Amino acid sequence: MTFEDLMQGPCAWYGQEDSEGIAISSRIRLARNIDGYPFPARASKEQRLELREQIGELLQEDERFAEGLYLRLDELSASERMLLVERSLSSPEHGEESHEGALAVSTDTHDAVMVNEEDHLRLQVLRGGLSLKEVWEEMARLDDALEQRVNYAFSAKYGYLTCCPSNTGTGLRAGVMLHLPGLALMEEIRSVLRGLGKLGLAVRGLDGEGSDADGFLYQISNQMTLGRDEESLLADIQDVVEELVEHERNARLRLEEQRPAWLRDRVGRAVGILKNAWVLPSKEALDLLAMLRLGMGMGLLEWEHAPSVEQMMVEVRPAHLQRLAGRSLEVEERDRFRAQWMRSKLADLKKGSTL
Amino acid sequence: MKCDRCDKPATVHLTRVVKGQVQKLHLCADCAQEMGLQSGKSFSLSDVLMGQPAGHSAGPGPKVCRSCGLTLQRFRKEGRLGCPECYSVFGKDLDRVLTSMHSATEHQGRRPARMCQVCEERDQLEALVARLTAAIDEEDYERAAQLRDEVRCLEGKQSLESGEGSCDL
Repeated sequence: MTFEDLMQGPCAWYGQEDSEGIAISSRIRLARNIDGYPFPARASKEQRLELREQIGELLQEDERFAEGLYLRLDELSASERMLLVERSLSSPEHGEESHEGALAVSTDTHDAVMVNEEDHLRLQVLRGGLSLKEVWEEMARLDDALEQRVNYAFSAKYGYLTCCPSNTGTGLRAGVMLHLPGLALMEEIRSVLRGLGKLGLAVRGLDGEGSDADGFLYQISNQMTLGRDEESLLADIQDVVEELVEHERNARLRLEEQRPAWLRDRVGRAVGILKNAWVLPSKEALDLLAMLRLGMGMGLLEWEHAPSVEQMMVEVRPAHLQRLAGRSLEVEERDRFRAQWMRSKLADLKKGSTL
Repeated sequence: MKCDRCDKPATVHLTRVVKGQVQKLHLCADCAQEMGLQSGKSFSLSDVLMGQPAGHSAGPGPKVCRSCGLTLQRFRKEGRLGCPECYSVFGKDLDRVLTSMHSATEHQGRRPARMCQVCEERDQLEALVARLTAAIDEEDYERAAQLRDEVRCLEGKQSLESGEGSCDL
C-alpha cells in the first residue's frame, strides 16, 4: 500500500453508522510504552529513532500491518500529516510535531499505531457505528499480539505506565462520535451534555482534545483509566451513548411534531447555501453538511445517488481540499474552491425532494 | 581559585552554615551546571563532593528520578512523567494526582501475560498478610509464626525476581 492508496480509499468508518446516522464511529486507543526506555519527550533522539525502527520491524511481523503503511512523519510534508489527522488516523499533536514519530496503518486501514507520540505506542482501532464491543475485541487481539514480542512498561500496582498520569492503568481511551443536530436545534444539547462530566466522561469536538463541536459532532469518551477494568469502562460509555442516541431520536421526533416548517426551513436553507455558495468557510460547510445529514437521516431529502456526508465532512477540510485541488491554497482561495467543489457534489440532488 | 571538582577556575561560590559550621564550595560554571546547582537552591555538600547531582540524596530536598533525571518540581509543574522508573520515585505525589484524576491508585484490568505470575504471588502475599494479622488478633501465635514464615519465604522469592520486592519489572 502507498500513501496515495490510503488517500484514495474511503475512511474505514464511512457509511457504517446506524440508519439514523446518530452514532457515527467508535474508537479505542491504548497507550503503551516499551520497558527500559524513557517516554518519548525525555528520550534522546537516538533512542526515539531506535524505538521507531524497532517498532516498525515488530509491526512488519503482524499480519494486519505487514502489507500496510509505516510512515515516518518527518519524511512527510506538513499537509500530508494534516491529511492523516483529518482522517482520524493521527492526533493533531502527532501531526504537528514529528519528533521521530511514525504512523503505522493496517492493510484494511481500520487499525493504526502512533509511534513516539506522548507515549511510545498509541494503538488505535476505529469502526463505523456504535461498535465498542467489536472494537475492543479487535484491540485486545492487537495488544496481545504485540505484547508477545515486546516488554510493555507495567507495574502490578499502577498497571500500564504512561507519560501522563491521566492515562495510567488501563491506558484506555474509548470514544464514540455522535451526530447530535436534533438536540442542538432543540437547544437541549448543553443540559444533556452537562451531566456527563460527573459520570467521568468527557465531551469533545471532531478532532478530540480542545476542539469545537463543528458540525454538531460530539465525541464522548472516558476520562478515568485507573481503578476499573476495561469492560466496565466501556460499559459506562455504551450506556451513556445509548441514552444520548435515544435523546437525539426524541429531539428529532419533537422537532418534526412541534416545528415541522422550521425544521424543513433549516435543512432547505442548508441545501440552498451548499448548492449555491461561492465562498464557503470550513466551519460553515461542516455546520451546513450537518443539517443536510439531519435531513437525510429524517428522510427529508431524496437523491439520485445519495452522497456520503461523512466523506464530504472529511473532504471539505483544509488538507483534503488542497489535495483535491492538487496545490496549496490560501484561506480565501480555499473557501472559493470548497464552494465550487460542493456545488458540483450536490448537483444531482433531486428537484422534487420531499422538503 | 580552582574548582573543587576539576582544575578550571571556580566562578560559583557556595557557602552554607550547618549547626554553626561553615561549609564552602567553589565550582566552575560547567561543574555547577552538571551538579544541577542554581543560586538560591539548597544543596548537600557531601552529595556534591561525592559526585552526586544536587538533590540526589534520599533526605529532604528536591527529588529526582535516577533513570531519566526528571525532577519532582518539573513533574508537579508539567504533570508528565519521564520514564517508567518515575512511577516508583514520585509515588506519594503521584498517588495524590492519580486519586484526583481517577479516584483510585490501583490498576484493575488487563495485564501482560508475563506479569500474571508476579501478580498472583502479590495477591497471595496480601492474603497471607491478612491471615497473619487475623491470627495475631486472635492471639494464635503458633499459627501466626507459621504464617510469618510463609510470608518471609514468598517475599524472599519476590525480591529475588524483581530486585526490591516490588512487582515492577
